[in-house]
Amino acid sequence: MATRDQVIEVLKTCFDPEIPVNIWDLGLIYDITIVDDVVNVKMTLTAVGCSLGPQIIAEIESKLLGIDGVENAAVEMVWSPPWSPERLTDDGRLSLQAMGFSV
Amino acid sequence: MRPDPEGPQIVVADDDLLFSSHLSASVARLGYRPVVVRSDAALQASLRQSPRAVIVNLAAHGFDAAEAIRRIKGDDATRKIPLLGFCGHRDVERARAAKTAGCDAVTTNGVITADLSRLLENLFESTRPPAGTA
Repeated sequence: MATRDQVIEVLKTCFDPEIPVNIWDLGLIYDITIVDDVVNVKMTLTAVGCSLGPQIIAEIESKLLGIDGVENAAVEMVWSPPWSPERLTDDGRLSLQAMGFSV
Repeated sequence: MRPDPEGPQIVVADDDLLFSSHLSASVARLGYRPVVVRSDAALQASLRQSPRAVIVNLAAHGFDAAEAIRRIKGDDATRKIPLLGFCGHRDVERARAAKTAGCDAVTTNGVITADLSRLLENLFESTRPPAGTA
């Protein structure tokens, strides 16, 4: 069975194309559930209705299926609660600040 | 700099929570009152307050940015409001559409994130009416 750490490492390789910080450090991941060989992820985006959503979901699911022991992976997009800068990890905050963001 | 509660407004038309929160903070730091709008209706309503400028995320999902720019520049009551659009540096089509619609300046996500102060200075300079015509 996959571990939570393995899932997080995969999520750290995924990006919203509009933002050069990975989706984990951006705080876009709301929940990770691992049951046997199934991984479910709940996540959000910084913009509701972003047309890149399906592309991001497909990339994450494909990468999660590359983890040993994962036979099924599903990503659900949720919009509540809305994303806010408080969700950033320390690494994400530092990366954005280095780019000039006030976060 | 703390924004003057009676000072000039700058409208940030953007439904991306990361960029809008950053731009709102940057606008306030420059001494303007930020007004964040996320829909076409809210943008139209904000124009009635005669903002000093409008910053538009050209990749916004909640409204058609190019259409909004076209409408602002096509209305005698709002055409003089300086407009600054931004989008990803690869988003050539959106940038072109904004310029065609009449946007006064178009920049990239990276530049507006790093140097809003200079962009606004340049915007105000380039849209200032010639002496004697104001």
